[in-house]
Amino acid sequence: MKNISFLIFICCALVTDLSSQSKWTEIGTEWYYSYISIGSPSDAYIKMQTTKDTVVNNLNAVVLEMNEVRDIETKLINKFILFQEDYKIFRLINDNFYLLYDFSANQGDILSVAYYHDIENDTVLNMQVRVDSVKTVEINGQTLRAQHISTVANTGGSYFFDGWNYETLGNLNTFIPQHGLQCDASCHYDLRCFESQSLSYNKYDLPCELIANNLNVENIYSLVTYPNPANRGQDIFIDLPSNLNHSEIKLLASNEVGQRFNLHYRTYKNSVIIDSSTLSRGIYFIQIIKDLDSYYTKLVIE
Amino acid sequence: MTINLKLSILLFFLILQSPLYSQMCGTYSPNHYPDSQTNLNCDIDLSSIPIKTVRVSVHVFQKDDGSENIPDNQNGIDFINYVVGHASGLMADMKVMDPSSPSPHIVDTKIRYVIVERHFWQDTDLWAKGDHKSTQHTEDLYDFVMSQSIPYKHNSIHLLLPGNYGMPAESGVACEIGCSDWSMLEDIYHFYGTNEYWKPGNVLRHEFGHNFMLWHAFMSQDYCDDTPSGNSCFSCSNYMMNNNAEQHAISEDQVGRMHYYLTKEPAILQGGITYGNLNISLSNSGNNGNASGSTINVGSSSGTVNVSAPSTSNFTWTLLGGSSGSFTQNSTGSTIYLSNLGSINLKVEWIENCQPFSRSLTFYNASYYYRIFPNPTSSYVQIEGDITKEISLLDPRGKVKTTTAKINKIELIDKDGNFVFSQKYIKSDNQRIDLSQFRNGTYYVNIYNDELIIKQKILKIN
Repeated sequence: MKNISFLIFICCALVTDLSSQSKWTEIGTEWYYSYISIGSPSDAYIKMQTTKDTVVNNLNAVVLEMNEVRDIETKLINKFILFQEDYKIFRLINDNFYLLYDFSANQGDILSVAYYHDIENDTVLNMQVRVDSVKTVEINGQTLRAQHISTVANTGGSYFFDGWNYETLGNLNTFIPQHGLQCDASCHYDLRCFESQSLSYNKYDLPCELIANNLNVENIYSLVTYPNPANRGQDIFIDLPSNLNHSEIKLLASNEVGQRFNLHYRTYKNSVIIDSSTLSRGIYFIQIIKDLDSYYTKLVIE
Repeated sequence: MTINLKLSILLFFLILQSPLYSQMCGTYSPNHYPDSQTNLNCDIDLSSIPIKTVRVSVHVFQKDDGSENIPDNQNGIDFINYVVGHASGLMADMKVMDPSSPSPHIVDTKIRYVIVERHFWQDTDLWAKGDHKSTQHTEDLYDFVMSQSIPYKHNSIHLLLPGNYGMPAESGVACEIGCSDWSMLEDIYHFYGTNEYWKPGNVLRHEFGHNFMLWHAFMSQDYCDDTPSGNSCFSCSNYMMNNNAEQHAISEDQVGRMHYYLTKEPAILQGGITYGNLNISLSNSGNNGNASGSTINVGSSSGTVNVSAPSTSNFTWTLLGGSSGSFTQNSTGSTIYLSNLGSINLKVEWIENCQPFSRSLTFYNASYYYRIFPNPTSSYVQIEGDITKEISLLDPRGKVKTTTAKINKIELIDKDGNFVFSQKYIKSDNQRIDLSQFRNGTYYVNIYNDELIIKQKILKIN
């Protein structure tokens, strides 16, 4: 299997024509995924970023780092090396490149995608991924190809790789095939934001820097906040939902330029009070975190 | 990536390639993308199938001194029973799915869980392997269990309960999706002594769901067409395979997958094929009948031990250690003869269903170490331990260790099991119990030394 993949990609390399598809992994491109850890508090998210160019097997590739972002701490948890050939994206596993995406695939196509490196037996296992349907989507005025994929039965064991692949963004559920039990511990799941020089995608109308794990969309901008807009220096009240009390909540805020910080607050009856004298003028997105759940509000300081 | 039990993956392949998967089932909504994995026969008629009861072996990992986890006493056993009982009981009392689903309301899944074995292992190293995010931790715990001589080793799902780890979390992990080797609950001790046993009970039911082939329902691909999925919110429903306070609902396709898997795994079902269980019986002058446990009081200096297992009659015996005694065996190894017995440690091995099994056993003669006289008695009994003699025993890992015939504690119990008399902290190697004021009849004396509790029958007469 390894030899076959190698041959395939040598062939591809000979007929490469990069002009037909712009480079999608320019340095600084960012992906934000939810970070799911069942039963654990929702206090982190996953940020992936292309960090540098590299050359592997005489091919121009790019390094993509996957980080867990918690409070102000960023921890590297995985690193990928990707190689683009036209509409195909290959991932380096065990010194060889294996197909991850083919944005040019058509309905009915079956792709062979590597999902697991069996180190003991020095083999890379492949799953069969079927293209169920194709469509085009408009993002930032650009027309992108999109394919709905699913894992073909009997392939992939407990790994999954399914849902919509958007050209340039990748899979909207999981960037690479992932083990189905991974989320009992911790996994990346649900692409929330994508930022590149040419393309900006935001699924939930929430700042990418705020945590959106286990997101109940009804909780977005659901908190009663007053006065709003507020004058700088005023006390701002945020009413808590009836199922929350003051104990063990945490307030996060993000400003217009995407800086995230912890927000200090006082309590009053079933509300929290923010002293706006510490905030400068502008728009703030505030998140109240309680265990597994999050609630959001938008605040304007004039 | 983590979680890489190749065998389980292989097993999963084998399951999926079986002919039943070619049967179509379910109705595809036009909004769903059909997948051939959902072609399994999940249109199950729950009213007509018998209940499947899954055997569960529980393993509590305590520290070396027995602390900081569920204790090996009635309170601990009650707690474990509550947790597993909760997971089992609600499988018969599932709620309506919220958000709603095309599935009919499944009330009774016809799946239950029953505890067949409880083990309390004292090992601080294993106790500390409590991180459910660590594949190495869980594999080490399971490897340890598999290295033990225990009943139902291959005929139950093993529930691993290591010690505290990090912050209290209602979490656990299963070996694979479609793998019935083990499930693990993290930090269950956090709930011991509270009335919140239902919390680990809910997590356990979720993990057993994974064991028996269920995926998280919030994911876009869980191979069940009747679970609204793909919103990435695992607490926005009451589904058992999501994560929320209730976890009380299951769909018809999900139940179908569980039953399909369990049909293929009869070895872990109550009433299913049982391998690796050794039946031991004793015949000698002092003690007859079936013996239980792996430390067996023969009750005299010689004895005959018969062993049997359902599908073999050939057994191989090896001497591991001992302080006094010898053994011979018949041609098949199904009978061994013990003589000059003080204590002897033996390993017995056999093959069933092409799998090797073994048990490590200690046979000892309590009367070699302790004298209880006069018996029958009308006034008192004198109990004397011979501290010059070593008792050879096996630790949980099958290694030989020794102790002496001390008397640390004595209990007197009547024939109805009521405590009549108890004395602790005895510094002596002999002790007298005055029975003159007790009624005539049969009593049992429990003699405690550092490792053993030795039960002896005495008769009070006029």
